[in-house]
This record gives sequence, structure tokens and C-alpha cells, in this order.
Amino acid sequence: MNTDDEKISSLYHEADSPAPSKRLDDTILAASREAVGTPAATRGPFSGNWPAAVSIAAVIVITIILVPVLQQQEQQQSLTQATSETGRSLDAPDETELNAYRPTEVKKKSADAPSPASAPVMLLEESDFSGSRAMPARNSAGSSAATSPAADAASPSVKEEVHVESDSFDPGRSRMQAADSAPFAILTPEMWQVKISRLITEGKIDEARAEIEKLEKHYPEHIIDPNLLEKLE
Amino acid sequence: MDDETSDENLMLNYCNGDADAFEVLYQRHKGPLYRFILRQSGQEFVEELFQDIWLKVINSRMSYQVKSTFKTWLYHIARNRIIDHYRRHKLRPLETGCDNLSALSGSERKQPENQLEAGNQHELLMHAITELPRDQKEAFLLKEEAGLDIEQIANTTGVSYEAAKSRLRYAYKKLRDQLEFIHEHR
Repeated sequence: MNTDDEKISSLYHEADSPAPSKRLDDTILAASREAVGTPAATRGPFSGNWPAAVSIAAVIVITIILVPVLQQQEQQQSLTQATSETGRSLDAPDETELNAYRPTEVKKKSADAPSPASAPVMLLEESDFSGSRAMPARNSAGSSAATSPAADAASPSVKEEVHVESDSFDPGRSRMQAADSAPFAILTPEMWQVKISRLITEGKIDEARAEIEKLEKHYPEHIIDPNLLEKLE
Repeated sequence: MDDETSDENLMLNYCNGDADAFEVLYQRHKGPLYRFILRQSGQEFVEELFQDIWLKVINSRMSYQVKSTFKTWLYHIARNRIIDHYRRHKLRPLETGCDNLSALSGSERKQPENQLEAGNQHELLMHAITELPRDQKEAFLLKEEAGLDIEQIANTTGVSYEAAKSRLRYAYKKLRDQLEFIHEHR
């Protein structure tokens, strides 16, 4: 480029320099932002910082999932605590467990008697042991007991207990009531001891002793809790 | 985003989603590109073409590769868009194609003189640029507005180095001749 060319060049650059309008600038810049997903008008608090947004979303999701689970666990813990206050936790005895504790003659007697599984008390027990089950399960247990004439005839007290149960549901209380009113043949030694413990607590020492005798009679191989015996002495 | 970041890095950042990088790039090149289009297409089409070219840059971001400078790539897109515009609208570029100023009619020759008398030397130069053949005008604008060297002009316009150099030399010569012609007739 010679001197004359440079003159032309400098003359050219001294001339007016038209530029695009502000409107055109805004249009193009908006299009550029929109193309990469960050429209200028709608930039959020996390624009350009997607890891933070993802982290917060993850925390929210985990919270939504965990809170109900923790609440459920808390309910179960309070239920367990309530039952442990009145004695050790009561688990539904299955048939094998019952047979293991029963002496031979008791087994035979229970074979002649109505099946424990079909007894109204057992129906109540089953529904009670499912502590955290939904209400319909409890209602069905209650209604089956109430609508069974055989059950009514066999054990009127059971019907009464079922009625109380349907009014206000307290799993710990209803288990104790079931243990009180249940025929001895279906009580496990543990349940029996709970019943005895309760009688001692209520000051019914004679009744407690009578229950101890019954327990020893029906479960001769079972070792009764020494603490319980001490209380009776 | 500092001012020293190269155009190529800015474009790559924009490809990775950094919209601010594009804005820096746009601010750097908007003026020269606007005038490059304006001098060739005229005021009527400049905004439409300018917008189309930048949208093309935006939409082509994923295929952008640093094979040459960003500027070369940008002006290559601009040039193709301007040619396409001429074809689509069956227009002729702003040129006379007249190599010899002496061939101009008396009235045409008088017009620059009047302009010069009015003291508007810049306007005269602009008029002279308008008069350049299209290829020479393009080479001149790529040199003066985009700041491309001869090799980059050759790459952008798809011609040999010598051809680009020749176009540029003729462009300056014609502008010089025209300005001298005007000076002689003051």
C-alpha cells in the first residue's frame, strides 16, 4: 500500500461510520441468547449455574420422598414404645410357635376346639398386630367379628371388645384387652405373662397368681419370668 | 470476558452456551460488517441482510471450527448472503462496471465536482466506491472495513492470492484516479 492508498484509506475512515440501530442490536442479541437457552428477558436466578439448580431440585425430590417415610417410621416407633410400656412387644403367634409351647394334651384339646384361626379373638388379634395397617383392614376385622353369629355366641366379651375397638383405636390397649379376654389355649406364654403383669400392676395379686398357675399348668416347660414371680412374692 | 480474548475463543465459548461471549463478538464486528453490507447493497436492504447474516452465524455455531479466523468465516457468510440476495431479487450490485471515468457523461462528471465544491470529500469518496466494479469494491471493503489482509481476502472470496491482490490494487487505483480527476477539474 503506497502513500496515495493510505490517503484514501484514512479519508475513508474519516467518513461517517453508520452502525446498526439499537433495535437491530437488541433483536440479534436476543436471538443469540435464545439460541443457547438463555433468553435475556427470562434469565432466571440460576442462569449459567445449572449445577446449583440441579442440586436444589435433587434436594427437593429427596425431601418429598423421605419425609413420609420418616413420619411412618416415627409412628411405628411410638407404637412400639407404647406396647413396650405395658410389656414386651406382642407378635402374632403363628401356628408353629403355638404348637411348640403347647403340651401334647393341650394340642389335642385345641384340635377338638374351634380353630383359633377362625375364632373372633384371633380375628381381632390379626387386625391389631398389623398396627399401622389402613383403617379398612381394621374395619373388616371388626365387621367380620360382629357379623359372625357363632363368634357372638362363643364369646360375648369378645364382641364387646371389638365394639370398643371400633370406637377409638389404640393398638396397645386393644392388645391387652385381647390378651385379657382371649381363651388360654391361644395365648402364648409371653402374652400370658403380659396379662399377669398387668394384673399385678392393677393390684389383682390373687388373680395374677391364679393365672400363673394356669400358665404353669398349660405350659409346664415354659420358664416364667423371675421378676414376675418376685412381684407376686 | 476481557477485550483480549480472541474472536475464535469467543465463538467457541458461545458454542458452549456462553451468550455473553457472543455479545462481545457482536460488538466488535457489528460496525464494520454493517458498513460492508451497506456499501454493497444500499440502505434499503442493509438491515435485512445484516440480521440474516448474524442469524446465520448463530445457527451455524455448532458447525463452527477454527480452521481460519472468525473474521474470515464471518465475511465469507456475509459475502454469500449478499450474492444470494442479488440472485433472489434479480438485482445488480451497486456498481457501474465502468472502468473509464472519461466515459462518463458530462453531467455525471459534474456531479462529483459539485459535491467537492460543497466541501464533502468523504461523500465524494463514498460515491467513488459505489462506482467500483463489484469484485474490486468487495476487496476494498474487506480490506478497509474488515481489516483483512490479501491472503484472507483471497480465502474469503475464493480466489487466488494474486487475483485478490490485483482486485485490491485496481480498486485503489480507480479511487485515486477518480479523486485526482476531480481535483483536476476543481
